[in-house]
Amino acid sequence: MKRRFVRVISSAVAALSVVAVANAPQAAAYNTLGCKWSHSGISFYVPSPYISYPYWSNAAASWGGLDGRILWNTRPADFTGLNESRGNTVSWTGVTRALGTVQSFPPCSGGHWVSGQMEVVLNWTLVSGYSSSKIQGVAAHEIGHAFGLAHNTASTGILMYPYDSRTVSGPASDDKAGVNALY
Amino acid sequence: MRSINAAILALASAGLLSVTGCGSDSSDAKVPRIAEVGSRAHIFQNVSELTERASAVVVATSTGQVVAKPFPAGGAPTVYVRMHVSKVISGSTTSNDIEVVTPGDDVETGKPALLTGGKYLLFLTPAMYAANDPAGGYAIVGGPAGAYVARAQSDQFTKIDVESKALPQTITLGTTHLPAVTKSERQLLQEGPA
Repeated sequence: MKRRFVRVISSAVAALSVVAVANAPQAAAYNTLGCKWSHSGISFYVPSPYISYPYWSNAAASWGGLDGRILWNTRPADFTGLNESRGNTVSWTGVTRALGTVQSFPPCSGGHWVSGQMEVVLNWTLVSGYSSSKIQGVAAHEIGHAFGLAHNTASTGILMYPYDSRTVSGPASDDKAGVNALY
Repeated sequence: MRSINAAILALASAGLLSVTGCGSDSSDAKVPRIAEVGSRAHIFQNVSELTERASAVVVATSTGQVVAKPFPAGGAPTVYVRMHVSKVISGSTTSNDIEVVTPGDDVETGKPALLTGGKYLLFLTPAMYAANDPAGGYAIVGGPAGAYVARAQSDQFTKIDVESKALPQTITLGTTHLPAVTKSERQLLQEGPA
């Protein structure tokens, strides 16, 4: 009798624990820039002569299967990928910027990016010494910004970690959750 | 989601909102806010890491003059601000009047960040597009990471980079230990951008 009572109490405590975990508020898993595209199919163009072309291609593919989709290699495009050798005249290895600027924030109107006015760029002077997966990680990080995701310093295992010491080269579950929430 | 700061930057960038970098003391100089959306190679953990990559640590003030030098490969020009060096803390510069690549624009003014505020403590390195390919003038080590702006007390400088959380918030000349610069401009040019 006493043993059965203990079992019942244990089961009840376990069940309550499960309910409590299920109802616990989720920790912040992603941050947003406050701007995104007004549509979920986002066109991306990279001129083929650019040496960064394959990295952008692989990075775009790594964001597949989400509610926001990158439509690769269409022109005119919502945003364009390229590379420049800016050396140490900039602090970035990759940047998401307004078209024709060094690093200005892309135009945002009414909470939406302006089509054709955004570039994602790799600083080839710096990333050319990286491994292929690390370059792809920088490229995928910039595409995350292009979706509207901001930096997340919670873990190096998140693509939107702001430094190249991140340990992933494609979106982690938190990054994907951010895009699915935005679109 | 912690989107508030990012949204503020976005709105400010779009000209919909003014973001002031002022502290509570109205006598303080303004602190520029730079909205950079990108990825960086390095996290600078302390001032030693800044000086390791610097050829000079100086106190300098903007002359208000902006110079745009063509980017050799085309595209947007590299923007410099002319600065007057009033004190060399360590290392050396070629002149007391130098050109420094701006580490970005101040989201409040839309102008080069170094035009905001007065006196700066700068960790300088020769600007270069590649090893032995000088761009002319100086770049700031780590971009905004190596720029501190003077506040009310003239010898106290405040960090402008919101991304470099490990760097000290303030540097006070004569109090904060600043390791000596050990590399010349020539050495750094040979090593290339890092």
